[in-house]
Amino acid sequence: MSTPTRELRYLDPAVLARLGTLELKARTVVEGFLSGLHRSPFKGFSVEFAEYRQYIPGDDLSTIDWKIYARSDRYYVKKFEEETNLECRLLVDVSGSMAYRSRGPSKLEYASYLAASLAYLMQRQRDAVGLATFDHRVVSMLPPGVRPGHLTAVLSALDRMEAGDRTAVARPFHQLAESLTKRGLVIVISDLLDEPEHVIEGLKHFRFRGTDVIVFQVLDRDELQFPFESPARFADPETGEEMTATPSLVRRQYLDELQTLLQRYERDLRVSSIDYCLLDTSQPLDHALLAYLRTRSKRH
Amino acid sequence: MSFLTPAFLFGVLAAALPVALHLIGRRPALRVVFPAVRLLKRAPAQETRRRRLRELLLLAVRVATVVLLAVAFARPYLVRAVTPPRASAVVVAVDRSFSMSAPGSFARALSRARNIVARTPFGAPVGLVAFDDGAEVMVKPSQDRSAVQAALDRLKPGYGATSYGTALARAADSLGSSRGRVVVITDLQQGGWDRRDVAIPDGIDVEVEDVGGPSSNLSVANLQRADGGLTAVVRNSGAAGRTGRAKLTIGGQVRGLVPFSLDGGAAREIAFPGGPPATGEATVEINDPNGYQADNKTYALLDPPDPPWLLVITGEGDLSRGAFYLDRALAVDNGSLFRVETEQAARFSSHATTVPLQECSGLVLLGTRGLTDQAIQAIERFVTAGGGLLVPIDDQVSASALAPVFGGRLAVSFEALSSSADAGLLTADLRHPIFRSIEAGAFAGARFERVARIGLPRATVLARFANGQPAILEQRRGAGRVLVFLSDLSNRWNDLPLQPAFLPLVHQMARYLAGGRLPAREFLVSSVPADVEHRPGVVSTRGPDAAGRARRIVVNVDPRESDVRRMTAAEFEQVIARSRGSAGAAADARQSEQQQGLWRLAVAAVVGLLLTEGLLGVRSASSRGHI
Repeated sequence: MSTPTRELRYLDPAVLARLGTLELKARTVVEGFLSGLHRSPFKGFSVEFAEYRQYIPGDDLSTIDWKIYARSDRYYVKKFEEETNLECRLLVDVSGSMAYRSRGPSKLEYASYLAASLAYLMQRQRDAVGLATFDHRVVSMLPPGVRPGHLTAVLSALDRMEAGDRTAVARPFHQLAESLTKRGLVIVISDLLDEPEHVIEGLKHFRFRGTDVIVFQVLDRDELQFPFESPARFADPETGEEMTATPSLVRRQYLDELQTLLQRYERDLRVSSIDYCLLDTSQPLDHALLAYLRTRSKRH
Repeated sequence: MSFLTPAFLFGVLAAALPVALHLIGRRPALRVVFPAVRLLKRAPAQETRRRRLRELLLLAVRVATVVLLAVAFARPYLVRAVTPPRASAVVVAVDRSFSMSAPGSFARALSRARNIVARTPFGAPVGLVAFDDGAEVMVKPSQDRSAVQAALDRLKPGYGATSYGTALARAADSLGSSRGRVVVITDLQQGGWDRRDVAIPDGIDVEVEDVGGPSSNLSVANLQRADGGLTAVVRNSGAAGRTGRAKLTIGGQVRGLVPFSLDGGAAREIAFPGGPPATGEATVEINDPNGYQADNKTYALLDPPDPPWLLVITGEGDLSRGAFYLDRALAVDNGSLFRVETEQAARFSSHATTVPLQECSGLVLLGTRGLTDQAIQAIERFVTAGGGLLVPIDDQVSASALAPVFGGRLAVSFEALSSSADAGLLTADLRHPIFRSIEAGAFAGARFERVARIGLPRATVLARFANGQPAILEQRRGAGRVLVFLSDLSNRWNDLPLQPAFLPLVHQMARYLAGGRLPAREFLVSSVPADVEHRPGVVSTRGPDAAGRARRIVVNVDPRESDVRRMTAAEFEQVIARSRGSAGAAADARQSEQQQGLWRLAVAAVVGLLLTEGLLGVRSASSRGHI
């Protein structure tokens, strides 16, 4: 019997990077994640198990999952044999900035692990899952589906993703929002290194269409901490623009700017009832999965 | 500002080094791809500007440090500080060279001089110097203006050439240690700077007053015998062509009148027909009323030159044995070619001789018996001072006794020649003066029965016996010359005196020996003997000899002064400036630099800049997070 700690180590992006196919990665993540939620990876997790939802007064206290409570400080109850027909779309940013990596996986690789894990989890919950990639336009789109083999198509699409052009989310977000025909869930995985007004406007458009939105902002540790020491020419991978700076001199101001940006996303998205989760590419993926489950249970 | 060692200013180029390093270091080599550049751009602009300003300041400090260091090593000083205060005393230097004899030139010079004296502020001492190739202080600087005016009244152009260096040095001397002003009044001949370097002490201003000069001048010079007649050289130093007539006068009688025509700047030799007399004075005169007057006439002495005086010293005083053939050879032509005195060695040693050695042109030593060491040392001194000595090495001459004369003890041996094949004398170098007018085989028939062998240091072989042994050697001793004949000259060991070529050989050897001490009889005005007046003409002088015999000499003007080419006042002052810029000025500059000590200020500034650089460097480095 595997210990939870041992299972959770497969949620580490660095470990995942050494695994084989994206499907294997996704399965490893999800099952590791789920095994962490239960005492036994298979106990209570059967075809009857459907999903988790947040505790509502009146629910049977025995169905409360205390592991999740320990992790999230919220009460979740396991729902069994509950059929769902949620339509979930994964929107993955493939702009040039997503190719950045410092030590572990790149932001794009991390996004693909996350998207694959979510897709795997969604399929396990019988949710329809679709995929769209974008930079300043919609690069590819796979409509949501539940057919057998759809997951493979999603994972294959994720596996083929390559970082592309500059980021400009407004146009693809509006396009994708207009293409929605049914309420569902949109999961945006992006570094959101764009003008925040455009980003927020685009996301609001999804909300306007009645769709729940979860935003995973994926940033590298370098972007979050700016740990550089030597003076250097910092080059934007999308525009090629260079800026010479002495890190020690600009670190404080940079971090302030970043914090301002992150706070603005969090604040403005919360106002718009959009879940926002900041992810560090060195972090395990369970934070993202929990965030997803939280939103899933909250909305449906 | 000027610099004592300006070469160090090349060190300023090193200032390019920090600039280059700054330019290189300004753009970091490290390029980092970073997606969040847009966040970076918002933050650090103000700080970066401040840092850039600090780095520029740092660069400026480093450049200034290098520049100041170079300046400090170049030893700066302020030129203004070495400029002498305005002159107080005035010395008027009037050119009285014969170029000032052109019509109007000297009158203008005197007028300028009087004006300068009159304009000199009351209380300032005024002096007067007259100069040509020499300089004479007519009036020392004093308050007595009338003495200067009186001296100017007496002043006339002379016959000397121009020497500005002499004039300026003398004028400066007359000022003594006081500062002052020298006003040179001259026709600004170019040739005036040729004769000596000028050294003008610091603190003396030099001004020049140009009195002008003629544009053309005819001169005559170099009257001499040639090809049985007389020739002279006439020269036109002007730009335009000139014509004229040269008049030859001998003994007061006109003996020829030759017309000539000369292009501008040309010179030509003119010949006067007819044979001149053997003796007398000759002059050639041209008519050039508008040019310099002193060079319109040149002088020559037709008298044959005084014969060389030869002293023949024999061991026994027996002329028939010791000096007979030499005496007869030298006495040809009634003794007009050589004046020969024969003396016994013992009498020579006792200083009882009637002919003092220093009067002789040459010495023939036929015997050493009776010569004292003092006499031999006197002969050595005579030779090294420029005298000529002929020594035949035979049984009458002790070569070892003559060691001081030859510069070392000699090993002498004698050899009897029995074979007829060994007979004869062969010249080694016919170009030597003693073989002039002697044919190569002239001595081939001479029979030598006995010869000497000698190892003479630093000697040249002039002739050899038929067996290859040296026969005539020449040794240079100081300014003099020694001829050594390795057999006798008295018809005892050989029959050379009986050969036809003996007479010309003896004559040429005598002339060669006497060549270094023949008395000169042609002089320029600037170099006449002390008892002769500085003016051209034929005059008598007591000469340099102690006997005090009068002799006639010819004095002519320096032909270089006949050149009318002039310089401008500005060029004259440039020469002065260059002179100041050389030796004297360098010493003054060094003194000024030492007094001012500006290099210390520069070094102090460098230290201050280095401290500033250190502080700025620390702040800059810490702002980069490198410390």
